[in-house]
Amino acid sequence: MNLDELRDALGAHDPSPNAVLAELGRKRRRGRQRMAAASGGLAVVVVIAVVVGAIAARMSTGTPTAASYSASGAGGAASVPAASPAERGSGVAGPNGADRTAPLPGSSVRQGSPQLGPQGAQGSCAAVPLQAAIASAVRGGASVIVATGALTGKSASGNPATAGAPAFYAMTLSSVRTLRGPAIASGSTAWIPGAAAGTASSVSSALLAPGGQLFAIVSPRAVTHDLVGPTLRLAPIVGGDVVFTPSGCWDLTGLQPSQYQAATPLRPVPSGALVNAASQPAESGLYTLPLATVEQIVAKA
Amino acid sequence: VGFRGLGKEGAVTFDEFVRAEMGMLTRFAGALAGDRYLAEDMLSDALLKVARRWRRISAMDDPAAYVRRVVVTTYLDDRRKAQRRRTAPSADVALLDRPVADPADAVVERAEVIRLLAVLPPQQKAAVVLRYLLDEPDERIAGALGCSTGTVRSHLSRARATLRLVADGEGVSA
Repeated sequence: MNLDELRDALGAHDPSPNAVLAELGRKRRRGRQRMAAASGGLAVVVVIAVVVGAIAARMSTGTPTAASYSASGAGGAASVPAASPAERGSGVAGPNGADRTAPLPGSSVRQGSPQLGPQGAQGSCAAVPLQAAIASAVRGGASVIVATGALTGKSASGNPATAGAPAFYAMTLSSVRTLRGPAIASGSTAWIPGAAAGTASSVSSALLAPGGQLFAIVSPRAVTHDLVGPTLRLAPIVGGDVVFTPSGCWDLTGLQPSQYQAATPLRPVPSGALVNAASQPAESGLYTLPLATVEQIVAKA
Repeated sequence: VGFRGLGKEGAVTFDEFVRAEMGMLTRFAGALAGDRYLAEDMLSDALLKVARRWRRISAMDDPAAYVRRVVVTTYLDDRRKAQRRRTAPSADVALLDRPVADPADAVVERAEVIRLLAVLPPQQKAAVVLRYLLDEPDERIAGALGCSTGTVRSHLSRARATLRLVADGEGVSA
């Protein structure tokens, strides 16, 4: 074999330049189509992810309705809202069911229902009357107590999105009388959800009576995803009356409450200006029911 | 021979490059593939890769050399895939030494050369094409194949043995 024969053989299969260019054009078009299809598919995936994320965020932070309240209550106490205290309104629903309190910008902290975790809903309280709320809480594993509480000084930081509040404050319970649900022993520690220290205003925080006597719904530990122990949704007791505060998000629809008239100052948790009858805002009043009446409601729940 | 001349003319567009080099590209691809249709497919694949990276390739010192390497790489990849899909050709060198049925018949002679080329391993065939079709030196062949010049010389030596060619200076004789 000589070089000419080799070169002749090597050149025996030259493709047509036009055929190559045509094939190249086809492949480039197919590539663009695949790219467009992939982009379209990616866009669809992104849209779906955004929609699912928005729904999930709404479910975790959204305002509970009476229906969702009942449903979550029946299922236990695992659901925790993600709303931050600053996003929430406050108030005690008065006897006619209307929310008597205007939202307090950037200041409201509520103790939540067992079903919704220690914090209330974003923007407004769930319109669930007291008796129904207690019944739902008990079904969810909560206890209803009358006790004397004292802050221990311990606190824990929480993630509002997972634990329901930015902070929790430890309280030792004594002289406990369990009205409903699993018995709570004297000496137990429970946690009050609230705003981070220094950020809460007085009236929108949990309020404590001078002697520490309180009525409370004690939610199981799981409500905060085990961040801390059982949590309290409390109402102080002053002179034989249970004082329903804005932070409790209580709904006294159908009852005959009285506006808090006592001069006894109530101390916010963790700190803040004392609240009494004279200092309570006109539209965010504190309402009272006799403890005996409340106990009857609890018994019937 | 071909593939040269653009050098640092990075301003040329992909289409201009293809127009200028298409003749040599088709010749090169045809020699490598040994089949015009396979060559069309392989060369279009290679040019597709080049087109996607043309901005960077056009800024190179020798874009033609890079394109040549892309063609060789595409050819070697295709051969690897083909070997997985098809029955491998015989590697029995003794088969290549069988006497040609009718040496006087030029057509048969050419067919025999083509047959011998077809049984060359891909790396050896690429080296043969670059050397004897494009007159490339060892260094540039090594660049295209991604190997050393020693390996290039080894490829060429083995290919010549298979093709029953004897190097004679720059030329080759039977």
